[in-house]
Amino acid sequence: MQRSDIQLDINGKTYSISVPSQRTLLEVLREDLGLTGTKEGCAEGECGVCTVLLDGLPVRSCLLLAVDVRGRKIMTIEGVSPKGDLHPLQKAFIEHGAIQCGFCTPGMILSAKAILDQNPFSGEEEIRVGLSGNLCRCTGYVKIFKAVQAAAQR
Amino acid sequence: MKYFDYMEPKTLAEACQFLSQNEGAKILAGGVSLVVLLKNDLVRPSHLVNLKTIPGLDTIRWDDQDGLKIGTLNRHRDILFSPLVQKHCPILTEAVSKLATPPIRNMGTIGGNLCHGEPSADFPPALIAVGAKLRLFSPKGERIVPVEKFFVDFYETILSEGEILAEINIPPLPPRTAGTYIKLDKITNSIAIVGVASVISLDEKGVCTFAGVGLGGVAPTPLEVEKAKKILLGRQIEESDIDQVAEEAQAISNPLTNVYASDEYRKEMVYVLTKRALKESLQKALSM
Amino acid sequence: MEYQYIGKSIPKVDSTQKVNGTAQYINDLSFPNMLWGKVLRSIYPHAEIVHIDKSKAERLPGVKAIITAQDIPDGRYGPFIKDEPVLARGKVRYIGEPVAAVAAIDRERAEEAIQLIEVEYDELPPVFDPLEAMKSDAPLIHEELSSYFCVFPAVQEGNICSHTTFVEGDVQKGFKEADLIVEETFKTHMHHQSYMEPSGAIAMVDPSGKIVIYSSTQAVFITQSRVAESLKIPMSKIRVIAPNIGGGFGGKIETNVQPICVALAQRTDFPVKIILTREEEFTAGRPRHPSILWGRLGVKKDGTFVAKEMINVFDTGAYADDGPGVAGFGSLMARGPYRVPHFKIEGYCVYTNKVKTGAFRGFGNPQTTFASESLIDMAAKELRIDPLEMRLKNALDPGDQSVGKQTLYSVGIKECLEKAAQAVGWKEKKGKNRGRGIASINHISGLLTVSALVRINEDGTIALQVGTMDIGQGSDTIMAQIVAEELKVPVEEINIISRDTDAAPYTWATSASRLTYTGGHAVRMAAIDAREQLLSLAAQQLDENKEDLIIENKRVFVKFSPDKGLTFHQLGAISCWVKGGQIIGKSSFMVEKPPFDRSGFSGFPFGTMTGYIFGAQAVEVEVDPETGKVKVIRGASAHDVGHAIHPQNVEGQIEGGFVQGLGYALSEEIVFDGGKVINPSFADYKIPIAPDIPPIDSIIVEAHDETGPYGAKGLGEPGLVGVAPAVANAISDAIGIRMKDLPITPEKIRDGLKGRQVTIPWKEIWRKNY
Repeated sequence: MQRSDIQLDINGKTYSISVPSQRTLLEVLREDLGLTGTKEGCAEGECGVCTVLLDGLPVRSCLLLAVDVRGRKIMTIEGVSPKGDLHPLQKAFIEHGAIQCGFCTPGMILSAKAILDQNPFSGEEEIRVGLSGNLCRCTGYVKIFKAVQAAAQR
Repeated sequence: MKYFDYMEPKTLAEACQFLSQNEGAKILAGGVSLVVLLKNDLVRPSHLVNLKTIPGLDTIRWDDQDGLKIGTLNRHRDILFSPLVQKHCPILTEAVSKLATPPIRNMGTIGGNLCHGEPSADFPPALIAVGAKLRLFSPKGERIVPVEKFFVDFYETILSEGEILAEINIPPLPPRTAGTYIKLDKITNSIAIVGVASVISLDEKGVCTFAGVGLGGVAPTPLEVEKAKKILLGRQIEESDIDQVAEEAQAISNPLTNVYASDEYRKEMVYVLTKRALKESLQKALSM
Repeated sequence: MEYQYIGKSIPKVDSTQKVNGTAQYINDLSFPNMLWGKVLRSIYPHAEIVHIDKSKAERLPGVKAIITAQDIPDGRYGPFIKDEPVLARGKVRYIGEPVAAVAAIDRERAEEAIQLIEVEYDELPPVFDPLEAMKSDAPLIHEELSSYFCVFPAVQEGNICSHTTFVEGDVQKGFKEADLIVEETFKTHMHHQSYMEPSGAIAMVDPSGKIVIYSSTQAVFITQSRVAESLKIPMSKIRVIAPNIGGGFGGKIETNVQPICVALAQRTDFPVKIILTREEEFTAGRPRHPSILWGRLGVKKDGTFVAKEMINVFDTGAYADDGPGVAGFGSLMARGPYRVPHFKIEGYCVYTNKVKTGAFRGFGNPQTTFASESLIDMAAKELRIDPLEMRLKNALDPGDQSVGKQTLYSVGIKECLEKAAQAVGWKEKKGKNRGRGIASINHISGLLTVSALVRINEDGTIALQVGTMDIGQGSDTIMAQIVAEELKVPVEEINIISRDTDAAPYTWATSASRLTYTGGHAVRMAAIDAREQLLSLAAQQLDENKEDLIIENKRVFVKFSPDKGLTFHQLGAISCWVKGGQIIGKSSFMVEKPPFDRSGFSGFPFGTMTGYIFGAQAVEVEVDPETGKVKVIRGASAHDVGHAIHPQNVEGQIEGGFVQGLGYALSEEIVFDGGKVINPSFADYKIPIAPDIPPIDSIIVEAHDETGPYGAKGLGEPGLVGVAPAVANAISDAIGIRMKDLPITPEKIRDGLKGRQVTIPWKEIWRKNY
């Protein structure tokens, strides 16, 4: 079995690991690096709970091979508020009750972050489209829209 | 996922060479379709050949002679946000805006989408309607095929061993051209139950100088309504012409029943959507 | 009354860890030497197991244990009927049923091993349709049904594992009095909870021999009980702990892989983890019961309801699970929040060779409400009465009775109806192809037992021990608010100890919309008990009358000389070190009053129920008459919750329920080919995504309930219950077609418009066979 020694740039830190070719980024994050804030919900790219930012854009970490993302900037939920101070989006999620079970929340926050990073003044339509790849079964999305909009206006 | 070896070619030629020498090798582009197949053990490649290490496959260029040239590795989002595509082929922008959701659009590539051969995919109807051609690269050389000839059957294309889809070419369209892509989906941007793309060009007198209609989800492959050209070209298009094209679209459809819809429903819908798409394209063109 | 914490939308107590990714769920946990477990599942819907050959799998390096039914005790489990084995014994009854299980050093090895187990089957004739299964000559799915232990006096026959009947008045007479009788047969589909977190468990045996289970569950005590009864282990030897739960909606009340995990851990002496794949969730979870519902409603010319009859057939799949409860409760709710003097309502729970179905938000109520509320609109249309007016005319008032003749005092249905209707512009002019529809909801929130302990620590901070489990809906925050209110302590100083059978006193499940009403009551009583003890101790220490003492800012002081007092810290220390022993407020509460008048009941699997909750949901839709596609333009959902303890949480339940209800009504369905699920993934099972959501008006109605904490009642489930009939009624209003079959797909609407709608010939089927 072929293994590759690779370096991954995750949340601004460089991780050197050896992986077989078929290892997904999600497996590396959760199982090799212990970054369990990124969740697994379907393992086939449909639910969005494994969302991470790749060069600033939301992607499915369950569909990415680790060997394929060398040299790219990866951000997980652990990198959103590294010093412990919550990001304005995280604060808005709490304040607006946008969290229930919390399983979609890390991916949802990363997708929301990408929306606001691209356009800090995003309107509701842009937010809805931007979050369309992240399933949430608890909230009906309503309070999530409100939270992201509130963070957008800050 | 089963084990496979992984390689990173530096040139198309190297990739082709490797693919033709290793029968079990598969191409990795964005991975959104392939990795799901791998996880479900539906393909078991010996090697994955990552095209993303080959420079130059992700450009979008325009020249007045040949039109738009879209490299195979352009992600859906690259096409969605390309000013060149928006300017010269807005129907493609429309089609890709209806394709899946941002994370998938940030990963999936146009080449991967086409080579997967999904009969309900959103790109093929639009590309068929605009008369796009595909540049296929192989150790034996290059061939150019119209997009509607690219698909053979469910998830099957004409690509031979070692052959790679390198570029999508959309010839220049006349100035007064309008297109529409209409898709019936279960929830927003889910897979097309039926997708219809139509393009109409008119001259100053309102006479049709170019027309194309592409269908998705109604046969084992995306389809071109070939007779649309015969019916529409050279005419000031009337309701009855549109009806005729829609009937033809329905006649050539051979859909299947699956969890999304029955064959009968698809057959009825391809008529409804073809009419709507053509009417909308005509309206747009007339107002240009 | 002015409250300090009640009625305030404070930040939820578990938000921070969920927002920064540190909250741990079952799959985030791992233990040294932990093995991965995997389940081999049946590929036949009904077959005898002739032989299982494990030898090839056993030889695979890294495989630590392989178990089949032969390797474990023959215990059967289930909430109502003890009919389910941990691993199929003798025969399989659905595609996806566990047949064997493997523990191996990693996931890949476990998956590989599963494929090496050879099972020889002898196929038996299957039955998939519940009406077919009810026939006397249908293949028997459980030959030994009569020998199973049932927790209630079940009425059973053939494949019917439970038959519940409710009768009041004289139905024949009632229908004779009616000026109009509307009659129809409805059909509903299998609907999956689709919580984002797949189910799973980790089990291990600790050095003392005790089984420790980390369980993705809504009810640690149910996991404990099912593992005990299925593997014949005393409950005292089982500890169940729940990490954060990524959604449940009823699907994680009963156990799934927990007993299998335990059996593998016992066999290997290592911790064993099993996490279901999404495919397993769809093929071997416990989705919502499909149903066939026949009903007729007798109405006077002026719109007054006089008689109702319903037969509700629930398809429970291969095992009863919560089916008897679902069929019974769904039928109990089928009269609706209306006065109906004469009715007979029956619920059948029927085995078929499909995946077993279970609890899912609404528990049978969404099915029967779909039929009931559709019938009302059909009658209103015939009589040319505004459907809203017809509902208001018959809606319950305070002083009216439930099914089972309990007198109801907190009844906000009329206000819900009026406000929901108004929010979708009920009286406004409608656009082309647009229609509006409304549906009423009744439900309960008082059921079974919750117990709680409130302890005052040495430093005056508070420990709340309670079995109620927060699965995201926010109950921990509600419980903390209640303790904070009674003891006037900040929420942050309350340590909530729950989700552990070794640390929290017994509670039944997070289910039945019951935590705020039933659990809140128990926690409040325990907090009051602690407070009274605290005051008594302070009175004694200060040599004052208890009545003259006041609690404020974690301090007890004398009303007329505020300087004279003791802090909670001082009192906590005194109680622990000097006088009386630790202050422990306690409460063990069972919903017992008022009882049902059961004279018209037969085969109903529950004791009493209280805390009646009411709601109304309204939508405006636009139908594309060519494609049949429905667009929901706006929605409103008004709910009588008695008193909103945390209004933001209430809205969260309303909005989440509404959207899940839209999925139920329009897009979600588990589809079968015979007994095989053909869309077991989110790629083909479509739940609503962000752009699909219409504007939703969440409306809180508060008809104070004397029996609830601070007047509060529950809410969890009703938010979903009325959406499908509201949508169906709106479609009928828009295009004049009555949709009788869920989900309402564009294709079915198109068929309706073309006059091709399929109707179920109920009378012929029913008379001929039953």
